[in-house]
Amino acid sequence: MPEENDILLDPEFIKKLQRLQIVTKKVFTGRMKGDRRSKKKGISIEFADYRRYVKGDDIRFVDWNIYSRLETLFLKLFMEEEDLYIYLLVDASKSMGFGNPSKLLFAKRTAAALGYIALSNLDKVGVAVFSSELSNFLKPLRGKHNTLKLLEFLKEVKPHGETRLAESFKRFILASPPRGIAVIISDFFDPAGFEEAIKLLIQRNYEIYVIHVLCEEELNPSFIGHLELVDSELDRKTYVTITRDLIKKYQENLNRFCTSIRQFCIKRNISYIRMSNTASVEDLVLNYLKYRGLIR
Amino acid sequence: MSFLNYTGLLFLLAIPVVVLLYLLKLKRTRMVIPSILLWQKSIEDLIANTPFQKLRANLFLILQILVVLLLTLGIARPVLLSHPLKKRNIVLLVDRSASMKTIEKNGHSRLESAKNQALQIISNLKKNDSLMLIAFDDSATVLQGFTNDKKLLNQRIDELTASDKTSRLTETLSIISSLYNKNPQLEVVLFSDGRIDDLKDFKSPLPPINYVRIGESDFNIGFTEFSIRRNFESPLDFEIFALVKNFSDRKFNSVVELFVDDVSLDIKEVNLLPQETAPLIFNVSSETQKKVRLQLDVEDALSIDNTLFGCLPAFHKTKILLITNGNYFLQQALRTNPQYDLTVLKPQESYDTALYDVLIFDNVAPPTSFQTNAIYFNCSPPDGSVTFTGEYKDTFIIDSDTQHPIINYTKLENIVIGKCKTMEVSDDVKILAETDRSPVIVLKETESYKALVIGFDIYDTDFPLKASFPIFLNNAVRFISESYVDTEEVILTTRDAISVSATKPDSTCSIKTPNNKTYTLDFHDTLKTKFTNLDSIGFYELAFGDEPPKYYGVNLLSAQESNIKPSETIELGRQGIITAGRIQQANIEIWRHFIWFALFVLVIEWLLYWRKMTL
Repeated sequence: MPEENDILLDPEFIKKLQRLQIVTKKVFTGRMKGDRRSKKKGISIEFADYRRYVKGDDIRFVDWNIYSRLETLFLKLFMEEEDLYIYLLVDASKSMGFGNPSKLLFAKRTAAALGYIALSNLDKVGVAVFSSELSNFLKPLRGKHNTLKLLEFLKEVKPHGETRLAESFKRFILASPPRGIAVIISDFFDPAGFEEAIKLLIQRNYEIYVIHVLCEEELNPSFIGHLELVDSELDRKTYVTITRDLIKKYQENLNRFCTSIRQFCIKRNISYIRMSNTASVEDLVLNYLKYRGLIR
Repeated sequence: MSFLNYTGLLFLLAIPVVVLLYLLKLKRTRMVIPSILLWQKSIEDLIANTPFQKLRANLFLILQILVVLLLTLGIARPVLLSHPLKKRNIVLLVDRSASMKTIEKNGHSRLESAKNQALQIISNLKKNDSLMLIAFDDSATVLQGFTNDKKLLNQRIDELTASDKTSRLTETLSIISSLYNKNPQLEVVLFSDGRIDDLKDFKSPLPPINYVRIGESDFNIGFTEFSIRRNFESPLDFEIFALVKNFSDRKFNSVVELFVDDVSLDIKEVNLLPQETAPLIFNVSSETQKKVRLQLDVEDALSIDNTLFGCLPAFHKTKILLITNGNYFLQQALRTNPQYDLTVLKPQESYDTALYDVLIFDNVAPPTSFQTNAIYFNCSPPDGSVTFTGEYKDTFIIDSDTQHPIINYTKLENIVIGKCKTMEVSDDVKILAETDRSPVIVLKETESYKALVIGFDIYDTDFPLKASFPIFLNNAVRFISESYVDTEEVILTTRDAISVSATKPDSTCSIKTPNNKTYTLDFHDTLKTKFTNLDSIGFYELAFGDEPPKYYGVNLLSAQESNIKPSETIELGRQGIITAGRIQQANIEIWRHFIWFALFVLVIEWLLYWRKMTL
């Protein structure tokens, strides 16, 4: 299915995004000093705690005032402010190519918006494009000047391959540091299921956001009659007579499928948002994600 | 339940075709979707959760097979045998007489109605039944002997056409009676309009007859009598007489037109009250043979009695040779008739018999080797068939055959005979009149000649003074010379036959019918024969070689057939009055129910399909 040649971010939307920043509920260890507090105690102006001196500590951080009162060496610990890693995991399997606009375009626009917010706030943004495996990975970028690079990367993403979440996420974990925020944008149509894949990210301590994208044809099928349904990703087809009962049953199963993902996420303190391809990305970013606490 | 058309079950072969078409029909539209995972699961769920789902999956196929099954059963013509035929041997009698040509209000003739009903009975025949088909008019024709071959019977029915003859059942009933003696389980169905008049007299045992009355209409006007007479005094003039009758219950006004050789010569108006008869007389003159046609201008239900066909014979003087020593009365009587060319000779004068149509011997014995048409007064013919054995006096005729053309219109019983010959006649001599002691007027007919013998001298009687004398003499001359058939012979009915006489042996005569069918009659062993195939009304043309043809007009002339009002009852010999009934349905056909049910199933299928396709 051809990908729409559409702009990922329009200027009006960019203006709105500039006032936003991505927040995290967790505190991560970064390699560079950023705006974020880190668990790592280090050189900073903000006091964090004390601890007993051990051999080898830098004596410059010994609190001599306490030593004078207690004759015990204590070391002053300061909060070290570090940068935030935001990973945008974009499903680019063939199934994402459906819908008008396609689910993939919706995913790319969402990724672009979140990426722009992050870059604007000096956070590090990495984009992992996956289908049957991690097909393309944009190493974390920092700084607003990388916006164009990010957008160019996303623009090149085309639907391909089948969905293998677990395999793809394994590759992602190997290619990225185990911290930060992971935003998964996918339709989750993986015959092997989604649970194992998300668990991999949980184990690596990512703060996970799940954006489940479905197109209108999936939400409200309008075709009837005797059809040969062909899976866009798998070499599989099924002969079916679409009836009112079958569509009702399909919608029940679709809801059950979405609910299973949502329940899975809730149990693990993961934010889950289901979106239609026709929904507004602006709405998603400015309302839903703000409400869920990803955006401030 | 049984089937009348087992070959219809071959339609079951359509079921595999339906299955094939069903499979071919499901050429599904290919549609690529993001993922079929949820669809597969939904299908599985639907199958698992819905009762009879497997059945429902093929519901349309099952319904279509059911439709084919029902149609097959319908085509096979299932019948309920709740009223089986009591008798398995059926004889169908189909009236093909002229009245069956009546066109009913539905535009079909009575014969067509009868044929349709006969076909219905044939189609209802069961495997072990057999049926005989007899068509009758004034004679019976066995169209088909007992058989179960429906195709053959249908073909025979198709070939059946109506004739222009009257209905007579005696011959048919004789066949039925003989069949009944052999097979008491016989059932007879009679298709007729009941215009049959010879049923009462049939006394032989018959099986029960199911009389199916055919027809409704009674509107008919037709000719019932027809004759053409040559004027006695003016032989070139003819008087044409016809009777026309209104058989309907309404008034009728029309005209009758006379055509002579297809040229309209006269027209007369006819005004008839219901059931009224009117005579019509036309006068025409002709010296040569001419065809006469009377046409009644009416569009009634039966058309064949609206036309009359006859002929005006060519004028031909009868050449008579009277051999006498002098007989004033005979000579005067013969001379008064302008149709006669009389020659009188003395017995000793010589003559050539070939020049005369008839010879009259008055008290003169003919030559011994003499064989020709002749009338013998007080003398016997030379062939020895009549001999005079004596003589007696003062007698009179006590009995005469008044139906014979020679005696017709005469009154011989009041003749006083002073002296009469005692006759002895051979077995081949017909006695026309006799006294209390012996035959007195006798006739011998052979193929080659006729001899009329009168056993007295007219001078010994008062016969010449009676009015009967010239009539008798005229009758005798016309009969013996064969000119008596002058006009009567050429007007016939379909019940008659044409008498054909050849003048010489080994001659051939061709007869052309009104239907342009030609028959050939060969004369080898005999010089006379009868042509009986007068099936159609119209002109029959008879010709010997290159001789000018002679025409005969053949007509219906039957009040019985022209009175077309169907009879509700018929009176049949021992069985008495039989009332018309309907055909006793041997089998109750229920194919319509199957067809309706098939249509119902089709509607259900359509509704289901519509519901399935409409979300």
